[in-house]
Formats: sequence, C-alpha cells, structure tokens
Amino acid sequence: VIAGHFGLAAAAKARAPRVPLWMLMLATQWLDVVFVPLYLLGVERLEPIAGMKPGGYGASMIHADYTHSLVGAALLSAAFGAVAAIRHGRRSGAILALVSMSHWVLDLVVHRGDMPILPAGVGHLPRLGLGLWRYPVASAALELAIVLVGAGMYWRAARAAARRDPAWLGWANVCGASVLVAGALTLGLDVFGS
Amino acid sequence: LTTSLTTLIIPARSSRAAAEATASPSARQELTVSFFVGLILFVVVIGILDARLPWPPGAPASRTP
Repeated sequence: VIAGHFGLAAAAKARAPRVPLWMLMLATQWLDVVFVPLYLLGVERLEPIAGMKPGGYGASMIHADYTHSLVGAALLSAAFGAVAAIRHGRRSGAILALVSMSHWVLDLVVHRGDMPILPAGVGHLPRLGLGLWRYPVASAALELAIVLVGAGMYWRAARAAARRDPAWLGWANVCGASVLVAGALTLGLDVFGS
Repeated sequence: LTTSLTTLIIPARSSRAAAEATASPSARQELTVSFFVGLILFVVVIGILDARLPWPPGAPASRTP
C-alpha cells in the first residue's frame, strides 16, 4: 500500500487543518521511510510469492520485522509524534503519531500474515495480516476508494479554508486536484508499473 | 473474539526462510520507483502547494495566492 496511506493522510488534514500537510504525508509513510534503508542494508526483506511476477503489486511477503511489527510500529510512531510535538505542540504530535500508526493498521488489511507482534519476531508469536493482496483487484479498489475519499475530504476542506478570500479559491482547487492526480498516479505506478 | 483473532492470523513462513529470501533487482527498482514518486509528490510538491493556503478554515488570509 502506498497511495492508500496518502489518501488517509489527506483525510486527516481535513479533520486536523492546523497540522501541516507535508508532515501528515511524511507521518503516514514513516514506517516505510525507515523500512527503505533497512531493506537496502538487507536487514528487512521482500520475498517474492511463487507464481507471481517479482515486484508486482502485492506480490511479496514483506519481512519488515522491525518497522512493521506491532510494537516496532508503535515505537516509531511515538518517536515521530514526540519529535513533531516539539515544534507543533502536543495535539499535533499526537495526531501525527496516530496517522503514522494508521500505516500499520492499513497494512494489516493487505499483508499476507507477515507482520510480527514483537520486533524481529521475538517469541515466535503469530504473525498478522488479513491477506487482501491475494485479491489484487479488491486491494487496488480499496486503495482507490481511500484516495478518492481522502482527496475529496481534503479538497472540500481546502475550499473552506479559502472561502473568506475568493482569491484563494483557485489555489485551493489546484491543491485539491493535485492530491487527486498524485494519488491516482502513485496508485497507477504501484499497480500497473510492475 | 478468539475466532476473529484466529482469522486475522495467517501462518507465515519461518524466519529462516525469511532470512534466505531476497528480492530481484527489478523488484527492488519497482518498489523504490512508486514509493519515491509518491513521497516526492505528496511530501514535497503538494506539501509546498498546501502550505500557501490560509489554514485553518476561518482564519483570515494574511497574504495573496
């Protein structure tokens, strides 16, 4: 899931307009931002699914045993929120931590039972994941729905923010349309680019 | 609740299998392209566009578009 996370952050901006959008967008991908260097270092891994095209949409078991473990994700989200709170206040920090943790929740829906509870899979506890990626059309449709709803909520809130000065309405429309187009582009790259 | 949790849990392959797993260079490239395109678009480009808006709704605009 990539575009779906961004859609969720756009919806969060509509509900928490004082929090900078770029921070919400960064928060929603924070677990993957930390995952990338660990992946490149070989600490966390992707395992291609037999019979599926390597690198295809949802075609991997993701062994992100630190960043995408339940406890690891909670710690990373709390750290993100704590650092953000220094500059933007406790309420914004808490919102950003929740948005960051929403990444794990959304991933739980699609992952194929590869998300551990404790970092590094300590204790050999059950791994979690509803496995919606087994049905790529359904998971892509879910992501598209989140992008559409999130972009719609954001666009509406942006127009409301600009309502006092008509000069800003055009800019609000540019921002709303940009979220929609960027969401569709990112989803398209993820689904069809592989 | 137990039944619900059980349906949530899908047995995964062993950690040893995970340790042996590696993604192909093409898979790695696909992952990084869509991820970084999304990250740059949303965090940088749209972040800059949005920062100009007079948030929150109801606040007086102190500048022009």
